[in-house]
Amino acid sequence: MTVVLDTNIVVALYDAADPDHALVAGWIATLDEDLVATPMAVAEMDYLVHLRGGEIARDTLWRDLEAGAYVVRWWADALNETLRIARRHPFAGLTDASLVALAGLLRTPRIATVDQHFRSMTTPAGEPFVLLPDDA
Amino acid sequence: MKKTSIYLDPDLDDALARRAADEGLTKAEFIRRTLAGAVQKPRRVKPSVGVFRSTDGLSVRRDIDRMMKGFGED
Repeated sequence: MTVVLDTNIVVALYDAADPDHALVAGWIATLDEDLVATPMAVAEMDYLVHLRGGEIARDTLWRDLEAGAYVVRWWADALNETLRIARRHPFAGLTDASLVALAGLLRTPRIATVDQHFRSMTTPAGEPFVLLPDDA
Repeated sequence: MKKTSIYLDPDLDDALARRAADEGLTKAEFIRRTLAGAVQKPRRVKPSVGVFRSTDGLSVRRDIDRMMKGFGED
């Protein structure tokens, strides 16, 4: 099984002062599934981790990516699917839309995020999202 | 070894026979090796935890829009 990975989870995991840090870190420690993101989400992770944690934190993110702690997926029809979803949910933006498209590709409703906007969206198959770790 | 029967499309059966021959294996051995590779559980690498400690009191759950201000402006 796989879990779609949103930007905010990585920030909460890395930032020991974030109010969701303990929740996210505890959940990740027990997780035995791949965390999969899109390149759009990775660009956001890179920006936020660098902004909030500096060079060393960004280097840690890059090393985690290199080591395979996060899987990054992009596929032939990803952009068209992302744009189609973004037009249906203009509040979401392209990154969130790409994660919805990824959930469709992976056939999973499970998404690691603390962004409650995903409760108002469904997977491309029409399933409500399961937001982790909140819904665990 | 345990004997198992499965149905295959003729095209897949032919392709398996060709690939096995290419590698100098019997079809059965090629299938066994392929399946063994597919079910092998990869070691999952855990991401880093607690890499830094912010001091501005922001929460990624609540303040993500504020944090993302300036994204893409460099």
